[in-house]
Amino acid sequence: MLRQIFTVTALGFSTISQRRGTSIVIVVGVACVVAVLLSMLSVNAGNSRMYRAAGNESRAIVLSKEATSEGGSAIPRESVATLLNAPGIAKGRDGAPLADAQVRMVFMPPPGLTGVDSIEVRGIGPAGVAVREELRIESGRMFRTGAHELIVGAGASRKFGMKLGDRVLVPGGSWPIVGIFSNGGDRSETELFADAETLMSAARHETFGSMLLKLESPESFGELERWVVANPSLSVKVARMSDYMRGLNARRMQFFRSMTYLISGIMALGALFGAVKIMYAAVRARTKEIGTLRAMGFGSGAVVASVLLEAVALALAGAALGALIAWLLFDGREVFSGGVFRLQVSLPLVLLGLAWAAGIALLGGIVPAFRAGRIPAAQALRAV
Amino acid sequence: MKYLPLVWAAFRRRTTESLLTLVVVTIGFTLFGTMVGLKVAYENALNANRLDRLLVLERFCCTMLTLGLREQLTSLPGVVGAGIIQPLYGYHQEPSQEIGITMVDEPMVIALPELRLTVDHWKQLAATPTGLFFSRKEARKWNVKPGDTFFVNTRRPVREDGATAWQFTVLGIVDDPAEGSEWTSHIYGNFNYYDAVRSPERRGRAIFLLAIDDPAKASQTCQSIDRRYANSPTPTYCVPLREDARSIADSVITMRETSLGIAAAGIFMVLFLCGNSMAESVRERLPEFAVLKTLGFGDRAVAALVFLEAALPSAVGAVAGTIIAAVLGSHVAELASEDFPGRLDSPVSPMIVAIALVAAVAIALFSVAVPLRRLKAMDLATVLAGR
Repeated sequence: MLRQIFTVTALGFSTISQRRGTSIVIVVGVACVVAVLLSMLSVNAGNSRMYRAAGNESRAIVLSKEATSEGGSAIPRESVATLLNAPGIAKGRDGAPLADAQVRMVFMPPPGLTGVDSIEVRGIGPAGVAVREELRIESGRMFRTGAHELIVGAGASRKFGMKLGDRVLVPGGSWPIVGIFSNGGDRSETELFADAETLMSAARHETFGSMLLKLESPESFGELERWVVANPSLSVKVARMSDYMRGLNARRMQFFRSMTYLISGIMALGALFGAVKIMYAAVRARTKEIGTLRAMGFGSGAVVASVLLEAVALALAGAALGALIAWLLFDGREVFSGGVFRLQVSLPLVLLGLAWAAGIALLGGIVPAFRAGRIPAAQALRAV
Repeated sequence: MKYLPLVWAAFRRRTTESLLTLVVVTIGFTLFGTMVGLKVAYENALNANRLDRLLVLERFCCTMLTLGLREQLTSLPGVVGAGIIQPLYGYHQEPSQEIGITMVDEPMVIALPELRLTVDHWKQLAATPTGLFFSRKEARKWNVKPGDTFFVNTRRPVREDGATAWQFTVLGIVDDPAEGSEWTSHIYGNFNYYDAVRSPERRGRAIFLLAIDDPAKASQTCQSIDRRYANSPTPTYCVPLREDARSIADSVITMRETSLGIAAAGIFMVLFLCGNSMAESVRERLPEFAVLKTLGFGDRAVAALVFLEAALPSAVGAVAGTIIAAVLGSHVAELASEDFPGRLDSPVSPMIVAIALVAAVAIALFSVAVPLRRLKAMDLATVLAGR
C-alpha cells in the first residue's frame, strides 16, 4: 500500500508542471492566508514578549486596593514603611528588603513629538536597580539621587529620538538625560526613570503609586499575600508581576487578537474553498492518468492519499512562501503600542502557519480526493 | 442581454466548480468590505473630532490649570469661548462598571452647543448643584430617569471629607451630542459644586476647552498658548481635539494600519483564482469560441462574452460579500470602538459597495487579459479541425 501511495504520489508530482496554473493558485492562496496570519500574530507575539519580560514570577507589585493599574493607584508613605516588614521579600547584601516604592507620572508629549499621546516618567527609589535585575545602563550613567536627572529607556530613546544630553521638560524645569538603559526588553524601556523622591518633590506629589518587590522565591508570594490581606492597617493589594502584566496585556490586545483569528479564519475559509475547486480541476486533469493506474491494479486508497498529499505539499509550499513574506516584511520591525516592541515571526509561529496550511489542504482536498478514488477505471480509460 | 444565456451556459458547464469560485469571491469580498469599511470608519471617527475645539491642559500630571486662566484664554485672538471640563472618574454600583462624569460650567455650556446642554439646563444644574444630566444613550446604558438618585464611587478620595461616595440626582435627559463629541462622557454635572467639595489642594483648578472661530488656525493658536505659558508655574499643553484623537489612535494597536493590506491580500487571492478559472475555461472551450467566430461573432463580441463570464460572478460575489461584511462589520466596529478614541459607525456604506464593484470589474479585466490574448491568437481552421 505504501509503495502504491509513493508511486501514485510521485507520478502526480511529476505532472504538476502540466498543471502549473492551478497549482500556483493554491500556493498563492495559502501564502496570502499564512502571510496575514503570521503578520498579525507577530504583533501579538512581540507585544506579549514585552509584557512577559516585565512579568517576572519572582517579582510582585503592590497597588492600592481599588486600583486596576498603576495609573489609579496611590500608596501613602506609612503603608510603604509597613510593607517593608512584610515576609517573603528578598533581602539585599546590606540586609535591606528589596522593595522599591515607585511613582509613575504621565506627561504630555513635548512639542514636535507626534504619534504619541503621552510620555511616562517613573520615579524609582534606592532599591530600584536591585529589584530590577535586568536593568543595565547601555550608555552614559545612572541618575544621581537628589539630582534633577533622567535616564531614558532604549525603546523611548529610539521612538522619541531622545539622546544623551537632551533635556526633557518635567515639572520644575528641564532635566538632562544622563543615561540610556535597557531592562530585558520589557515595557519600562519606553519610559524615563528618575529619582522618585526628587521627581515627587518637583511635581508636588505626596504619595507613591506602587511598590515593586523582589520575592525570596516565586513560592513566597502566598505568604506575602496572606500577610497583606491580614494586615488591617493596609489598604493595598499585591499581585504577582507576571499576573499583573498578563492582565494588562490581555485587556490591551483583546480586540487585535480576536481580529487576528477572525480575519485569518475568513481567509482560510476562502483558501479552503479555493483548494477544493483547484483539487477538483487537478483530479479532472489527471483522470486518464488515474484511470490507467487503477487499470494497472493500483487501489483507490493510494489515489486518495496521493491527491491529499499533493494538496498538502502545495499548501505547505504556499505556507513557506507566506512565512517568508511575513518574515521579510515584519520580523524585527519596531512598533509602538503601550510601549516599544519588536515584531517577531518566530519558529513557533511559522510552525503554526504550516499547520494552518496543512489543515486547509486536508479539508480542501478530501472531497476531490475521494472523488478521484471512486473514478471507475473503465470510465477513466474511455477518456484516453 | 443576448449574451446572458451563453454566460449562464458557461457557468453551468461545471456547476460545482463555478459555485466554489463564486463562494471564494464572496468570501474575498466579505474580507475586503469589512476591512475597507473599518478603515473608512476609523478615518471618519477621527475626522469627526472638531478642529475648532482646543483642549488646554497642564503639560505635567498632578496639578491642573488655575481657573483664573480662563479669562486670559478667552481674550486670545480667535477664541470665541472657554469652558471648563473636569472629568470625575469612578464606578457605579460595581467596581467593574466604570463611569465618567463631565463637570461643566456655564461658559462651557454656551461655548459648546454640540453637547446639547442649554442655558436652561445649566440653570437647573445651578439650582440643584448635585444634579446630573444624562444624554439619551447614557440614560439607556445606566437605566436612569429624571428624579432618580445616582451614586458614584471614586477609587480614591477626591472630596475634602475623605469620602469616596458621591450622591447625585438625575435632573433630566438631554439629546445625544453631535457626532465627534466622543472625547468626553455625556453625563454632565456642575463643576462649581464639584470644585467646592473636593480637597483644598485641588480646588480652583481645571482643564479648559476652547472654541475658536477658524479651524485652520487651530495649531497656530495652540502653539501661541503653549509659548505664552511655557515659563508659568503650570505650563500648558494645548491640542486640537482632532489631533488629540489621532495621537491616541496612533499610540494603540488598532486595525487602522493593517486593514488595507489585509483587504489587498484577500483580493489578491480572489484574483488568482478567478484568473486561473478563466484561463482554464477559455482553454477548454477554444472550439466553442471558434464556432462562435465562424458564425460571425467578432473579436469584440467574443471579448465581451468572456469579460461578462468573469465579471458577472465577480460582481455577484462582490455584492454578496459586502452584504455579509455589513452584518459582520457592524459587530467588528462595535468591538473596535473599545480600543479607539471615538465611536465607529457601521463600516459598510453604499460607497464601499461601489468600491467593491469597481474592484470586481478590475478583477474581471485582469482575469480575462491572458485568455483574450490566447483567443485573439487562435487559428480558426486549426481549432475547428481539432488539431
